[in-house]
Amino acid sequence: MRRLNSLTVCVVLTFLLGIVGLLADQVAPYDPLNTRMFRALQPPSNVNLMGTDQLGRDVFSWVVYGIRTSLLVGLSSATIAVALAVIIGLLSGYKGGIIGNVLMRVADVFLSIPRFMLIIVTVVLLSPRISNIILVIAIFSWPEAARVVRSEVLSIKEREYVMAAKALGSRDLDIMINEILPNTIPTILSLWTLIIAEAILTESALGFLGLSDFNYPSLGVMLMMAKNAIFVGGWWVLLFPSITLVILILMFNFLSDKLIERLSPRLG
Amino acid sequence: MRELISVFYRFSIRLLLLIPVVLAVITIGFILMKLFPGDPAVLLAGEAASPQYIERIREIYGLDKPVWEQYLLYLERVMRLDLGYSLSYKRPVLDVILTRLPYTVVLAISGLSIGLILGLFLGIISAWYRKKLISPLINSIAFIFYSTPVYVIGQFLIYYFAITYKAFPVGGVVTIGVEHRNFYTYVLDVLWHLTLPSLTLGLIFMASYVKLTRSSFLEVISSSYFLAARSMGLRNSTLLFKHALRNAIIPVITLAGVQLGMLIGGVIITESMFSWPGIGQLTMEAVSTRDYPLLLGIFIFTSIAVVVINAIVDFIYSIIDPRIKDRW
Amino acid sequence: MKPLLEVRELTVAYRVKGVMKYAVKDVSFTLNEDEVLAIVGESGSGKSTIALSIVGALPENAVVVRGKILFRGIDLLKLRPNERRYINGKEISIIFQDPITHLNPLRKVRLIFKDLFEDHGVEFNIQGVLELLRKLKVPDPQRVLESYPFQLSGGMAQRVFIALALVLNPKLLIADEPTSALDLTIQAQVVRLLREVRENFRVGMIMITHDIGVATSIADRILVMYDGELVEEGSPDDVLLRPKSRYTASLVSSTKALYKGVMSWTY
Repeated sequence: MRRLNSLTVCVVLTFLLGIVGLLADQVAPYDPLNTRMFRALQPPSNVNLMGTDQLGRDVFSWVVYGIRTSLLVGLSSATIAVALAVIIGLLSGYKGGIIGNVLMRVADVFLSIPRFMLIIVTVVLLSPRISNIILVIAIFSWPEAARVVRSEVLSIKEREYVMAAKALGSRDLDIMINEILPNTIPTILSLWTLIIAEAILTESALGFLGLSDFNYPSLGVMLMMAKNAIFVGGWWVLLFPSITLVILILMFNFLSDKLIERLSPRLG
Repeated sequence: MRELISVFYRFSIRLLLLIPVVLAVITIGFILMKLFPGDPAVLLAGEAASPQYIERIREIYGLDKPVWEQYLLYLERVMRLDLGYSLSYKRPVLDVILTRLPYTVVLAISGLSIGLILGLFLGIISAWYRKKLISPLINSIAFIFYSTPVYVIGQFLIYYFAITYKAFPVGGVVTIGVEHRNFYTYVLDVLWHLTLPSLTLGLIFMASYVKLTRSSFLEVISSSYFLAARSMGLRNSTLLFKHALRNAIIPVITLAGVQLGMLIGGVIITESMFSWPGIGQLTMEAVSTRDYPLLLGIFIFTSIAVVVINAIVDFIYSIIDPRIKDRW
Repeated sequence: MKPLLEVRELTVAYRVKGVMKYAVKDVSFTLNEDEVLAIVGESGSGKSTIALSIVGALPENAVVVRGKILFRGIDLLKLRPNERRYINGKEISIIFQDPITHLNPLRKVRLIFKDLFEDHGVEFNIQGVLELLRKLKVPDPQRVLESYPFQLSGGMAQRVFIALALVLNPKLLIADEPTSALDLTIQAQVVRLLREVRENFRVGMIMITHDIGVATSIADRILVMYDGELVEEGSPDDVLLRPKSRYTASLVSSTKALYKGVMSWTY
């Protein structure tokens, strides 16, 4: 009987949330975008599990779809960002030289710019469609990830089995794929989950500022409604989306920490 | 004398290294400008402008010239500190930014300070008492705060302290309609308004500082030199303050320095939430009024500010840390 | 001669993943005033653990299962940390392997001395420190005092460490592998230095080393440790020429082989 440890609980919960997101259409009782003014600002009840907001939208349905949006944006942008980061990090770390340095300088420039500022500017410019949002988040997440991958690669490069492979005359590409890449997997996974957490944070922040795609309900948007709802006693508009959001982000942050802990080869 | 020369040398090298990054930032700004939908001249002049004015604008910004020349003109303008003209404020962009900058700086510094103090304190307790229950408790709370978006914390704070208990104001810098007879009451009023927003920021920062302080402290405690110091029979207070703390704090201060730079561009949400009239709120205004020159100007300004602040922090660091001092 | 230190039935274990691994098993010995005792053994034999037990610097997962360490009649193991600190540094001091990592990199050497003096309630005697450093063959002691530990070479740092250990006139100096992290030539210098310390200062020494050559060149008596147990005890001649236990014999012969039959190690 395997022990119930924190990592297992976390993974299970995340999967559950993922399923909720996936089956949003089935789980949510109402269409979240449907505004019914006569049911505006109702506290939680049998009809509306989590109450309604000022525009009569069912909070529960919104939260369910919000989970889906967050996971969608999170997973997509993180995957793109990590893919980019791995390629660039591997190349620049293994080959090094001028290319490596130039790439890192580029990454540095990205890193110096206040990220959120730029995301807002870009989203404003390019219209807040969901695909744009995903792309922009990905573009601004890869530099830091690439740096981490690169430093991992640099340290793995010096290990004996890599030297052995080189001495045996393996091609560079083979070495990169067969020797180095597998050893970077814990880091990559950890980065991936971390970026997911950051992406969810950014996505909901955009929602909070009213810059999200209106076809994709964002938890941030509900929190934007909460801004005014709390003044007239609508605590549920604040509470439920908040808890959901925090749990989502927390899960991925936690996964990120634990992944690097558990998967890294134990030394001695 | 030798010291002075090396200081000067280090300073100039850093200045030189700054230039490419700043250049890159400015170039990105230019590219963004080119990406604006619609006729740039109309955008810059404002939709309600007269045709002659639009032509004037076209001339000034050289919009009918080849891209190369436009870029150079643009560079030249930025060098002259001309960041354009704000449509909504009808004032030079740089002016507008500088008027609002102090508010953001005040907020940033207060938030960081609260975060640092709380973070250091809790981090050290978590490390020192790591066998007791309080340690994982602090760590968990920090972790939760770390995963909580700033607007969630802010909203909760507003809900409890501003609405339910009416202890603090919901927003703004000063209470509207109140005439302040002297500087003292003005400051108090501002501080009262500053409490919730800086607390919001502070709680977020606290989370990352607790983690860093704890691990840094633990590393110091388990180090060889700490062991040797203990074996020398030094007092607990000496051990703590002169050996452990000083060494453990360094990474934390580094982080704070870096975050200060990030903050200048990053307080958008907090300022919006609390209607704090700083650069963040200015950004949102520019977005909603489609004041592109202003938006662009803010972008360039904040990016360069970040780069410069990071360089300064780096520089101060090289002076303080004796280990780095020697390298140059 | 009066016994300075008496170790009786010392048994120390480390708790590793829930299992107790015994590092020191029932070790007893005595050290007299002005005597130099060398504890020789390979890595893992428990010799460092003994040293750490005496100064109370054992790691967190260490458990003293049994035993007494009597220093002038006081059982050191029964002392609480804030009582220990009157003894550490002043009556008993210790120097470690790899001196540079054992000195706070961010603290000037002079200040480290200052801390030591002040915390023991003694007025900071900078002239005395300079004098001591000169005696320890430190060239330009003034500059050394104003330096940071990372600016010193290995041999210099070890001298500073020795100075820190001796400056308050302790009765007992413990040297835990003082030469192991240093270059061979520096090693010889430090050993010579310690011999001079032995001659010039009235201090009892416990020298912990894995190098029998170092041990025999400086000690009055040698203790051989193997796997936590004390397997042999005697004068250098006894241990080298008339080893009683099989382990000691093999230790001696392998070292002899290394040095190609040279019987007296002259440093």
